[in-house]
Amino acid sequence: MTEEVQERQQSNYRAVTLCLALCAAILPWGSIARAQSVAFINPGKSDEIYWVTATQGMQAVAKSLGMTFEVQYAQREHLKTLEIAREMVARPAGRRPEYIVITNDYAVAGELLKIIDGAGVKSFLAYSSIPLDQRAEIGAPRTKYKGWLGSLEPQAEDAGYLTARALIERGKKEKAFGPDGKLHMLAIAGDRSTPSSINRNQGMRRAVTEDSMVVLEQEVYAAWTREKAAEQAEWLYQRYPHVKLVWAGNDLMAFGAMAVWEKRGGIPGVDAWFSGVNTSTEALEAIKSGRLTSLAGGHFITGAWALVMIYDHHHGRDFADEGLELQRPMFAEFTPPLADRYIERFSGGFDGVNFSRYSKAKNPQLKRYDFGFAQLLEATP
Amino acid sequence: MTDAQKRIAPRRFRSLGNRLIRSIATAGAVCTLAVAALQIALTYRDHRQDFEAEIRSIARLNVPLLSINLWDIEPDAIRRQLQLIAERPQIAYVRLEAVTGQQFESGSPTRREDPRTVILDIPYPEGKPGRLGTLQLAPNVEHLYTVLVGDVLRLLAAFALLIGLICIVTSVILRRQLQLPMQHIADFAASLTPNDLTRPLTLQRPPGRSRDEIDEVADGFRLLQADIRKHVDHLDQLVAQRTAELEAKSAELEAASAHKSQFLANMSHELRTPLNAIIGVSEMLLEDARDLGRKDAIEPLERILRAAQHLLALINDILDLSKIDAGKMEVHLESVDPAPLIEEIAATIRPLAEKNGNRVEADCATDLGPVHADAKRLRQALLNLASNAAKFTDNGTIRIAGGRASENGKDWTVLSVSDTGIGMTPQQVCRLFHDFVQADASTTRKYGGTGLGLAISRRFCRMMGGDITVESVPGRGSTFTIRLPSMIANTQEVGSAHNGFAASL
Repeated sequence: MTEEVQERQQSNYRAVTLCLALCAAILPWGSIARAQSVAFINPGKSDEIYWVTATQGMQAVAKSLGMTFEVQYAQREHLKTLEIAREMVARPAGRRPEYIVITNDYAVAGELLKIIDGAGVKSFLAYSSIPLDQRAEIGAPRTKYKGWLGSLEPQAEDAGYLTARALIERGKKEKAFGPDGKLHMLAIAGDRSTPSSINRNQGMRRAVTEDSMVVLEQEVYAAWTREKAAEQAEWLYQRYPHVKLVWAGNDLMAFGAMAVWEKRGGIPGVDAWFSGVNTSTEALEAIKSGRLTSLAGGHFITGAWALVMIYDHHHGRDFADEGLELQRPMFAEFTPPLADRYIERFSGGFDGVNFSRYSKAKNPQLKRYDFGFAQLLEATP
Repeated sequence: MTDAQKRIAPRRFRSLGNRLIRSIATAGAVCTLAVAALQIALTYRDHRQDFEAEIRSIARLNVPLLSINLWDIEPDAIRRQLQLIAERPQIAYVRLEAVTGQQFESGSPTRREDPRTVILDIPYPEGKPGRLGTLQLAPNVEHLYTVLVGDVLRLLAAFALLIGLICIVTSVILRRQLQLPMQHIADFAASLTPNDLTRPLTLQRPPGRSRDEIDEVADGFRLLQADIRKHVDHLDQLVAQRTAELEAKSAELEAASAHKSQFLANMSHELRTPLNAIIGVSEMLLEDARDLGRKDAIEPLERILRAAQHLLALINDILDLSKIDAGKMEVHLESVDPAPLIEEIAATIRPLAEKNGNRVEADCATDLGPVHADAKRLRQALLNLASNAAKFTDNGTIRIAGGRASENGKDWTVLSVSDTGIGMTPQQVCRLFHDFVQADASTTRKYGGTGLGLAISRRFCRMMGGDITVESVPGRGSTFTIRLPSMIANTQEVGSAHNGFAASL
């Protein structure tokens, strides 16, 4: 009698245990189905136009693909970057991001990977790659740090080349030759050390060496600021009176040089021509008004493309077939109509763009990523 | 103070070594100061040249980087570089002017117009012709002087140290080579006594070294020592010779004196026998004459008796004196109670004294305690003093007193005889105790007496361990005082006195 009861109770226990086990097996699937969580440790300041735009692009991707996205700004303090990473990986399992997008600003990638990979969280390096001097320490993706999936950086040289090329063509068209029959150009670069600056300058120099009509008088470094560029321009215009073309490594430095030119009684776009990089509203407006002759931009979208790659990797379409460390053209050269369209479409963010069409997971027929910015301007939403 | 006194007056001692060192230090300091002055002048010249060279070198060193910064248009870097230049202590003010008109400056602008300003062109980098600007450097001359003063102070400190070291080393050398040997010779000379004049002078000098002045001085001293020795030896010889001569003469004289005393003793004895006969016979004859009423014979007989008695007294005194001189007189010391003795003397002298209208007083405590003396001789001495007092006093008082005094840790019994007689002058007092002497020659005639009594009394008292002293004022009187040891006397003296007494009397 009692043995029978005991036996029946035991079989009930077994049934309950089985149910619990099934539930436990199903739960993770349920959470994946709910949302893939990605975080971005933004190295810039929370009011820095370039980095805010980058965040907006990533938010749009997350929205399009149904990911949970979180951003934290390190406010250009490299120690804060590490602090943010430590805080993120220390969270309880439910609130801990599954992927963290990092950058190599201030060469902190090694430290970040140590923290993130050590906690078993996956990571992706965007906007820059690992330079030679850090390579020994970090290694290749998915080797020393198994959870480090890969990297994506814009082909920065493009920005330099595209803007310089456009500037030279315009100069020729305007016949802005000096007494020696050549085009005299000045370059105001950002700095001597960061890879993006070096690459942009290289692009600019490539454009100059391709054309024997052009004389690059001098290349100076204005630390990306409007003020220093203005001060240097003041000297340079005196030093090189025949200069008509001014190439700048970003938009702010171009504006600095333009302001001094205007102060000297010149009119940018009429008696001298300027180029810059970045998609600030001021720069786009200057393209539209003709003050700025050439502008390249759009590389802020790197973060957005990184999110697309993470989404595909998560859903079984690894990007390893295209390479783990990708360097792709992303800059678009802004003509006045393009600038117009950019302002019209993206001044309120990128919510209008459906990024799901660029995902290989969503579009199995897609064989190769196209990260160009121009397609975002051309494509119909 | 005369020159002679000045020479003789003892002067302060100052070590030869110290004086030499002081001279060396002074001379050294003067020479060093001269050298230091020269050195300072040279240092100043060098510093000036160095300073100007330094300014130029600062300018030249900074030009290449300034050139690059000017070329690259790095105003912040230029400002920083100028700041660093101006921070150099040698630089008061620095200024850069680009050919394109931009100007930078750092330091104190008040020094902008310094005439020693160095001006350099800043060329293009990489040797392109032309210039990018000018660099102007105004020197900070105060820094030159600060450095110069520091160097001069160091120099002077070094020289002072050098002089100090030289002085110390010289001091040590002088002390070892000069001062110590000299001091040794001086100490040796001071330690010499007449008995060890020939003790040889030894100098501890390193062996094998050559002779020097110290050795000369030492040799001179040794020669002097030898001469003095010779001289002293000669004197010693002379003294010994003279002493021997004197001793011989003295022995001769002593022998003569002994003979004389012996002769006197014998003579006195020989004289006393007939004198006693004369006295005895004349006393008998005088008695007979009185009995028989031969008044005419009484007076001459009395005169014979008196003369004989006087002669006997004189001979007795001479005998005593010669015994004393011949060393044959002994005293027999015993315990004597002075109070009855004084009473006895007073009683004895009273009839004689009263003849001259004198009063005799005896004053002695009965419990005075005994005196250590020969009773017979003490009585003789006291009687002598008392009879003298009676003799030289008219209508006065003669006072014989006894007392005690303590002097030099010894107890004395003091017996005094005072009178109110004619007294004596200090000169008379001086001659008083000599043999055969009375206060003066006239006294003998007037008062009689042999003049030997006091001398004999004093000798007795001295033999008993005491003495006689006298105090006198002419016309007022005299006090003769005998001081003898009280009973607490040296027993050994007593013993020897006993022995002597047994043998001689």
